[in-house]
Amino acid sequence: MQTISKETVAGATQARPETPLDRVKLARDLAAIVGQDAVLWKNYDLKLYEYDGSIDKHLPEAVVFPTSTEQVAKLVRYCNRERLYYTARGAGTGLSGGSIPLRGGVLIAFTRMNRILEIDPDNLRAVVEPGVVNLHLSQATAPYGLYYVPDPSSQKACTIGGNVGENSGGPHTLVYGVTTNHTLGLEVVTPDGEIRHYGTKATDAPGYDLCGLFVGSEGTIGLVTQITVKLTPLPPGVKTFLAVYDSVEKCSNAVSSIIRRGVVPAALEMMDHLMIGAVEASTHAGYPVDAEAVLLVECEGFPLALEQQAEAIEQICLEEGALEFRTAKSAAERDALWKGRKGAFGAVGRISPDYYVVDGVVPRSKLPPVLAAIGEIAKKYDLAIANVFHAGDGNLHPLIMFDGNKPGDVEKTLKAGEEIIKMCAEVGGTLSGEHGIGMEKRDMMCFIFSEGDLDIMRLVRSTFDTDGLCNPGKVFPTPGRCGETHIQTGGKAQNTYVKPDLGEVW
Amino acid sequence: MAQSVEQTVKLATPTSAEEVSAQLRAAYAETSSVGFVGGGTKQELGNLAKAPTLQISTVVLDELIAYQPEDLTITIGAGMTLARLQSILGERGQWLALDPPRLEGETLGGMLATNPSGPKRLLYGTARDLLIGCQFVLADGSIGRSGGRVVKNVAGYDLHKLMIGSLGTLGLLTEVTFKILPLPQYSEWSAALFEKAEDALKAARQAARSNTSPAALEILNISAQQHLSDITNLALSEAPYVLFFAAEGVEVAVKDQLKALTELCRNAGASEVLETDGGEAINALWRGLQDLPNRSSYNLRLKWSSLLTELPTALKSAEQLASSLGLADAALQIRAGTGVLYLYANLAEAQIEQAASLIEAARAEVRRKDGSLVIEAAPAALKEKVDIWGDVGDAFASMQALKNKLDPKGILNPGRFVKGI
Repeated sequence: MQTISKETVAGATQARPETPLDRVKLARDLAAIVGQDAVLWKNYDLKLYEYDGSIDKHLPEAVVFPTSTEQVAKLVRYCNRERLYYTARGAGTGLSGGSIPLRGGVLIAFTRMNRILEIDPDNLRAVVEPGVVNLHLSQATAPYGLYYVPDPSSQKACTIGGNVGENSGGPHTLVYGVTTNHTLGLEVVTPDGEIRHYGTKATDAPGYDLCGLFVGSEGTIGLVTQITVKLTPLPPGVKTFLAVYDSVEKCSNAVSSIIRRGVVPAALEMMDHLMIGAVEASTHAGYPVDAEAVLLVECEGFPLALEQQAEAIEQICLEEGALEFRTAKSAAERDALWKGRKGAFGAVGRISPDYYVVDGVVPRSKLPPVLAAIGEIAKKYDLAIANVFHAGDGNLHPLIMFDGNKPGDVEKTLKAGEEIIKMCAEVGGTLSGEHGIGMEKRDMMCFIFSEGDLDIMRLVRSTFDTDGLCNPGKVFPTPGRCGETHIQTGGKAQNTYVKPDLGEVW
Repeated sequence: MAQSVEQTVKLATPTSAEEVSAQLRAAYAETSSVGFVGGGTKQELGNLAKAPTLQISTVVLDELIAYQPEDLTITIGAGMTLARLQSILGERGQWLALDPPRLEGETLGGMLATNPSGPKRLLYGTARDLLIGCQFVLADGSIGRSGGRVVKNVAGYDLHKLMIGSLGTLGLLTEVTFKILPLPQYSEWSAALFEKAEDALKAARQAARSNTSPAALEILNISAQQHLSDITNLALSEAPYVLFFAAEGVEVAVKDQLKALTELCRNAGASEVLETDGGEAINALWRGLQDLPNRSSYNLRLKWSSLLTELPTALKSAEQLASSLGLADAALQIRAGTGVLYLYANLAEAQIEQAASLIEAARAEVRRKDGSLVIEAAPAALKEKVDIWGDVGDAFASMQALKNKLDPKGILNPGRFVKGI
């Protein structure tokens, strides 16, 4: 066995000594690299950058806004020289703490590197900087009849760089795949401060698939500064349906049935009663508030084929006991349904002071029992849990509602969340389908990976991040703490939860 | 057997990942080199290197580990053959959506290590889009896993992606999990005849960009068409270039897609568009296009990867290379929606020297526009003169670092991968 010492692999031991940091000097040094108007260092300003969309938080010592790859490389070299931790951040919409500077240091925010550098319709490619907002890319390519497929619910705000970090998904990735399937090339600044190019604009670059390794590595092995993505032709036609059920079980059976029969729609989303109520109250999209569950289905293709697929899906839905099967009659009706679905997380803010989004995946055939078990967990902890999720690929998003001001609620919520994730793992699923491990789930990694598996991943990490300065404390469990709930974050969570400005976006 | 300097190779046939681990641990302790073999169908790929001291065969690791058809995933031992996997899936109306050239005995592990693809990659992608998890054993014998058995998963690093196409230089795959699909209800091919290559390429480019979602776009020159006719018994046209295009899925959709594609080819200058007369012919055509590279008389197989807009340049480059060498019957097969061009030919001993310098020149040209040229098969004498992978740019430092970390003594398949990794 190779001896992989946890002390030297991506650990904290080599970071700067615990002497107080001269903030003013730090700010001056950073300004020399990125310019004075691109550095934040006063506590008041830093407060805005201590959290993302997850429940944890930690203050950085400075935030910088580079505008070029060269600046990013200089920043990394500076951090290496000064033994400072550094963490990349896009729009801060992440749900697992990937962009939280867990040990302080420099937060490198990519929001000013937001240019679409190239749209190459004939080659079905676009080259973008990491700070480009996901939706902006599809808007920019629409005139060419093309779009960028991955569409996380936060797509109005989240950045492509962040998507690459987390390997983000979205409702429409069922057929076409998630971020990794649409990323062909990356320019990165490696933790040794070098600029490197993984993958190419053309297909099948020889050598190891470092681009594939980088996507979803949660900012732990380097900083992405340029991304070459695949563009996809917009479909000739789209149809959106809503199937209404009087029980969650019937609805999840319908999902299994659709998949089993080989009818794979472009999107297959499910919401339960609680969720429908919240969504309808906030968006008035026309969801039936008295239903126990609804299935939102979208098909793409040529008109005749669409008709046929619609019929097949309607038949399956009715066979599985749908009370009603509606077709969106206009683009406006379709948009309203999707606005409701994509605004689901934020909508919960209307009915609960706080909520915790859980992201787990189960084999699709296990959906009915798992949803029933989530209901049991809600009862056990006396918490309301709303369900909204990508049913087609078994990706659950239970939203646990709680009140951060009520003593014990946060702890209970985290326990319930962990129990759900543990169950996903036990039925053959995984910890996260698209939100990432980050800080949130690092101590749950042992639910699906052995210490040996994790040691090999740590070894890969240490290949790049030799000094353990790049986004420390993420993805890998704290030695000896695997499987323990991270109750210690509970105290912070109480203060972190009010984010009204992001509610709409989720 | 690998093209290599003669040496007695020990063969081990482990029956479990633990046995693989023990064998590798022992080899690692002695710093003795190890190669891997599945069906032994692609041992010729890669740079020339000294034969390893030990060959570990995966053929016994061929178990069906988990298959729930309704989950559309399957987990199997990496030593299972692709043919057997497809037959298991076929019984339940499903398939692994990969169609590389069919080779007798090819295992999944071998396929993943070499990463071949076929005509339908345009619609379904390549192994990296379909492999969702694996178990592997590293050089020192440590056993690891990445990914899982569900179709969507972001937990941990995607180490399985690193294993794809790594030619057994990072570790041995022992177990693999794939995302699978229902078999298409219906598929159909048509053939558009073109006088000029540029027109055929333009038609394909427009098709790839259109909303007709073709399943495959394959352009063949005359020699390739002749060869296709030999293996399929399908009658062929006299057109210099034929663009074969396919659509698959629901029958009504396929009809609409082909109609739109036919229209598009006509507008791009096709002299004629021929429909396949259904049934067996459709399957035969697909199999023929899939297996085209397998012809045993070819000793040279070159693969250009380029942007779609650079395919005309790659084609010119390939044609020039063939004509300079007097390879009048060189077959060209262009995966025209993906940007891959294959040249198959038979190179004589006397042409090696010249071929080497022509390949270097063609490679330099395609690399200028972000592409690559890989020598998939060649006589050993040619491999002595030219690197089969070409330069990989500034990514190499990271590749080398990764190799050094995962196989610090460099015992796995030494010398055959990029720049001698």
